[in-house]
Amino acid sequence: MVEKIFVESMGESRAYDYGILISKVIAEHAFTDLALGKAVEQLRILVDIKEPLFAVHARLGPPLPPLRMEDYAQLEENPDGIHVIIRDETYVADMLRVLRERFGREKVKQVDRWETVISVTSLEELKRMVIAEPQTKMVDRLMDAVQRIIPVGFRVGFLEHDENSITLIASENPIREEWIREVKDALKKPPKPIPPEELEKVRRKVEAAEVMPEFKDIVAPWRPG
Amino acid sequence: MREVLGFTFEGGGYRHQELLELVEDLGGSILRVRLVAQEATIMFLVPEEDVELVKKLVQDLRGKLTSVPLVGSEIAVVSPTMTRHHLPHPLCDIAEYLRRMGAKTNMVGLSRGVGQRICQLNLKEKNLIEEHDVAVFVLGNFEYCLLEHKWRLYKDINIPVVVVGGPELDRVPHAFAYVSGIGRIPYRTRTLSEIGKLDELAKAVGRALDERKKLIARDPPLISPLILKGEIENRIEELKRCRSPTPVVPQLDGVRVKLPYDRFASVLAQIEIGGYRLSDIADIRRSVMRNFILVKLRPSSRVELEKGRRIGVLA
Repeated sequence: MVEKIFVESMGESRAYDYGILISKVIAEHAFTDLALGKAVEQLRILVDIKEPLFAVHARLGPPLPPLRMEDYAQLEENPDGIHVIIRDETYVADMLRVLRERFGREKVKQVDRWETVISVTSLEELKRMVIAEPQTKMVDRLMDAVQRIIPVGFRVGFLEHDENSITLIASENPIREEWIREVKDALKKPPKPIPPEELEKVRRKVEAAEVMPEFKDIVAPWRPG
Repeated sequence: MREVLGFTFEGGGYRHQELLELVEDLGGSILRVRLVAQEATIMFLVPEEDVELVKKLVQDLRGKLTSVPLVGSEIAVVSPTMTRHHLPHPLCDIAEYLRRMGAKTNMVGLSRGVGQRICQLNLKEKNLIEEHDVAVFVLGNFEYCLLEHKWRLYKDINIPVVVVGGPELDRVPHAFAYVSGIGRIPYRTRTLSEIGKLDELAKAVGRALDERKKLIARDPPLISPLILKGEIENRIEELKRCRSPTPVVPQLDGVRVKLPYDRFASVLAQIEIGGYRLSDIADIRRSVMRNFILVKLRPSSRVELEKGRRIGVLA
């Protein structure tokens, strides 16, 4: 698997400080929790704990296309209106909101979990209708992940984003111009992965279970011997 | 002072009364009795020399007996904030482990404990933490923060502070002890090495409690907090209707009574123990935690001094 998350130390801080190593573990957990693995190509975290400064840069993958009705639901024309039959419920709340905004609440009738009937509109119009923007949702999730990674005390932020990347510099002090320059210079260089032997120090190790000595003294009459 | 040991009994509710009677006969103290369906969980203290008698009875009752070394203490587990970054994983695990070791733990989330320059502890939080016997501060992962900045949170606290953090360090400034390996982590502690760390922490807390016990033993109060607990429970009828699982929490130098201060402080002050009124041998004050009552026993020398002063005034 290609490594996506890189944590690097800036300034005078130690390169493989415990905090740097565990930041990678925290970032991995945040990514798994929010299912961001596919959407983000690369995540770089730059830390200078002495300033203090925490910068997160995410390079997004190719943008997800807007979801149209024809891709999401099965449409059937019947005498009482058009029946919208869905296969999965992921975007059902978005779909109903869009339909109700467009046609009005009384014209959109949800029969059951899987089926909705719309009495006014043409099949062609309905097919081309955009019901959700997965890209926007993904960016929201990404920002949530970034907030989970940076320390909670770093409330002053500087955000810069374009179509395919997001950079957030966070600190507890006002952000200085030279920090922004330093972070940008550091981001131009290729990422430096943490050596596996360093990362091994903070990874959880699962040992074979054994009875701990203090539990051996428990008075339990049913234990053999 | 007689050495007492704490134990938890887990077993059938049937015949658990025999254990309660034995503990009372031995001069021990029962801290908590929980009966859920047919299962009984009893936390109690007995003198060291009588432990064998208790073990024999527990064997007869076919129950399980575990040692709980931190029993009779109240511990504050402090987190820099109440956000998702710090809670719930490390804090809940630590609090639960200390609870299993017999301590009563309270979790405290600070309002402004985050950051380096901006971290601070306000007076109310300080007073609240100082009501406990020992405080455990659960801090973060960066060595620089722990060594250079975070000590400002606990420097002025008058009780022993055990600091928990990520990096391997021998000690951090102004703390009684430092336990490494549990910082800001995004998962529950499940593996043996992680539980070993919790064990290390429990031992450090135990050492801190021993230090405080030694300090108290130099000029001990007239009665033990455990005896005071029993007396309060017997004298105040309303405690039976109190919703808290432990309405009277023993501490090393007093008790916390979970009843409203305004109504019950004067009732507590009038309780007579060993020829003394409680207000003569203890400070009864309003707790920062809700509106509870905090009873802190005075050292015997101070009680004697005040007694002498009173007699002098009368003469």
